[in-house]
Amino acid sequence: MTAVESTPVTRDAQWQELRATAQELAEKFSARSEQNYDRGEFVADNIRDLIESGITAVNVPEEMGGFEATLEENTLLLRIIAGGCGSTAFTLAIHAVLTGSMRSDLSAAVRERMFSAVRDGAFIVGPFTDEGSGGNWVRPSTVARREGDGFVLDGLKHFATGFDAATHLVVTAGLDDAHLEPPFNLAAFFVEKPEQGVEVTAPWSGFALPMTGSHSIALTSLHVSADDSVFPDGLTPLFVMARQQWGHYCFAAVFLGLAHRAYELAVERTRGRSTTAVADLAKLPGIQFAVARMRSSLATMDALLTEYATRHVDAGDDLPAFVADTCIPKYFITNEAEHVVATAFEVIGGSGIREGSRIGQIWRDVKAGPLLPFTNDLAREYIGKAALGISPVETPRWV
Amino acid sequence: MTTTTAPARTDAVALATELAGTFAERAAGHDRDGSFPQENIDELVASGYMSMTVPPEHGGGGASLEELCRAQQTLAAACANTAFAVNMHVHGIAMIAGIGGEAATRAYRSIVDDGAVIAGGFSEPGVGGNWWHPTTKAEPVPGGYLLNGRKGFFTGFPAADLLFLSAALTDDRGLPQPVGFLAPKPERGVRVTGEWDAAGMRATGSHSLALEDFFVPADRMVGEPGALPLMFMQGVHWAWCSFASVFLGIARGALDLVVREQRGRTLHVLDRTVAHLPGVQFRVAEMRTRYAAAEAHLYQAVRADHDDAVAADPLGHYIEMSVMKNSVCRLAHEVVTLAMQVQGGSALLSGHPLQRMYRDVVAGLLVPPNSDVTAEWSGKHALGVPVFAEPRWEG
Repeated sequence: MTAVESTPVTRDAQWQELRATAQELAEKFSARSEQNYDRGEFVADNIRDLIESGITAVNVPEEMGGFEATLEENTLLLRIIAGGCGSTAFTLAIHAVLTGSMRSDLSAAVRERMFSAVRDGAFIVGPFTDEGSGGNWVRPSTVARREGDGFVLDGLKHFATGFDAATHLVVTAGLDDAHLEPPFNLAAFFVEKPEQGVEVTAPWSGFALPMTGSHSIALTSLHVSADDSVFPDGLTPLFVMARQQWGHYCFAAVFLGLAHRAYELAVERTRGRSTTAVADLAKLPGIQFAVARMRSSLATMDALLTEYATRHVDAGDDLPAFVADTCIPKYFITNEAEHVVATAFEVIGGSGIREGSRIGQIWRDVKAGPLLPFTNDLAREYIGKAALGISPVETPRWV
Repeated sequence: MTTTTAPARTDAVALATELAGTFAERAAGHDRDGSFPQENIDELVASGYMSMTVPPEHGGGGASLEELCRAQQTLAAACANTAFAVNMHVHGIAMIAGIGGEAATRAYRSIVDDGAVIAGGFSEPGVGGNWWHPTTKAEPVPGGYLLNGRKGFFTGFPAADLLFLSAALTDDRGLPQPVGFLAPKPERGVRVTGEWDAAGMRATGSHSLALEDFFVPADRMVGEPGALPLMFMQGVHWAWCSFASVFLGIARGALDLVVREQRGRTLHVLDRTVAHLPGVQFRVAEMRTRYAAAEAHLYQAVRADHDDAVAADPLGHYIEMSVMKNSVCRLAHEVVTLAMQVQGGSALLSGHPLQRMYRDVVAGLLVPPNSDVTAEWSGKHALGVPVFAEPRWEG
């Protein structure tokens, strides 16, 4: 199991195989989605298939025998999987973001432990949204108190996407050290999924992405070791900022994949279809123009994500400006994807409103995109301030 | 013919950056007067800019499509009219180079040795965006052809030494054969019927012309009779990418201007610049985001493997490039519209550059490829409906 062996000679072939595997799985996931979407059943079988296929291990570093997928490759795989099932793609995205972004700068012990586990089929989940924190997860309400040579964590976390499949967690908390002012008290811990100290308080039931198992969980006197600390004390926010591209581009990829699938459904639904009044719906100008609008939007989104996932990946020295830059594709794509899906829905017409329709599921799923961090308001604030030469992290935030 | 030329420079973008400041200073005057920026064209010729796409073996710079677009975008941010006025020249040479032949070789010599400038005319009254159906007639006569017809939007005509234009021969079956010519601007046979006078792109000299027994020697034909549409499709990336780069340049200019001005503006009710107002920040964010999307779309199209795309599906390639041009120009228009809102009432003042950019960027929505035709072709292509089948629609 499961990491893909990598040599320079065969890397391209391995990549083609990974893509083909992802495509096959997407089709399988699509069929399962039809059965399970309305029940909101967690995509456990899909995650198992992704682990079996090696796709969850693509970010294992080369020197540990892994494929060491680039950020762009991660986005391409997520787009394919999203074409089959948005819930699966989003659940995988969390794991991809954590494993892809944490290949460098980790403590050697954590790195070895994390990627050995992932190579052997681990699935990592990172619940970052705390009770009362909103999207500002660098300001957690979960507290980490020092005790002995470790920490004790207490708090309530929401949207613990993929929790049921997790073998490991990356848990954030605020250190209660007096010398660390928020947000520099932020800390992250990499732990095996604990037997005790973590409890689901509210099982996930979502209008969008219903099969992601994004439960609310309580951490109660959860003991972690000092060795579980992922980043040096006081520097976690900076490390997180330097990795923001992974979250933003991988999230964008999921919603671009959903939009593309909606477009395909609209085309499939129209081609060769007749009614009592029209011999071929594809020959109606209204349908053609709607398809053209979607095609144009998709081409722009594809170009934007490709551009950013290949050319906007190095954080550089100005971290707030970098974070602002990474917001651009996430902000554009998650919002534009909603327009594409709405247009596809129009093309498909009334049949899409029926319970259980695929376009209806995608329409619900795509609603989550702009709500994920960075939310639209925060993205606009960061992008606008950075463009105007104002630090997005300067306080007070407003005049 | 304009002035003597410098050797072609291979750093067209740097050259555009050097010239941009002066052109920006002149832009308001030419826009106000509707005058043609001949001195800008002279400087572009003299500096070697106009040879950038002539193949190196013919003494040119051999610029890539990306260099061409980056350079044109830079010029357009300063003076979109100048950039657009020379756009047919700089991208047209590259398209002609793809076809080759005597007409092309002759054109290279004129450009490199004599500083010749090309202006192009494919639009005709009554044809709309359907440039592949020219109504201008080419009648064979001894030694060449007589052209008769009308041309609209002949951008850059005042500076032109060579005219790149379309016409139609009639074949044995009486069917039109679209064909291209690259001919010296004649003393007689081409008459200006309407001086360019428009709300936007006022300084482009996009006159309306009548071709009246305009004699073109046979060796000035570009390519084979009937092959014009396919030839154009094979080189269309040069045309539509360069068009898009001009309008993207306007958007970039507007974004930079708005940011610069908001960072320096204060109001009595604020203790800081208006750049600190959330409403300003949010609109600038929209501008920045849409600009990034447009830029990414353009340069992905620029860097695509055009030869492979043309070989696989020439019509599909034409459609992809047309979709890109329309998307980029729509986003550029949105960026400049937002810029007006950020700037506020002062943007409407005749002396403010934004109102010129606002009028200029609209042209991006109107220049070929026509957005409705693009939507029709793109939609049909995606749906597997034959693009040229008649009737065009059913229902």
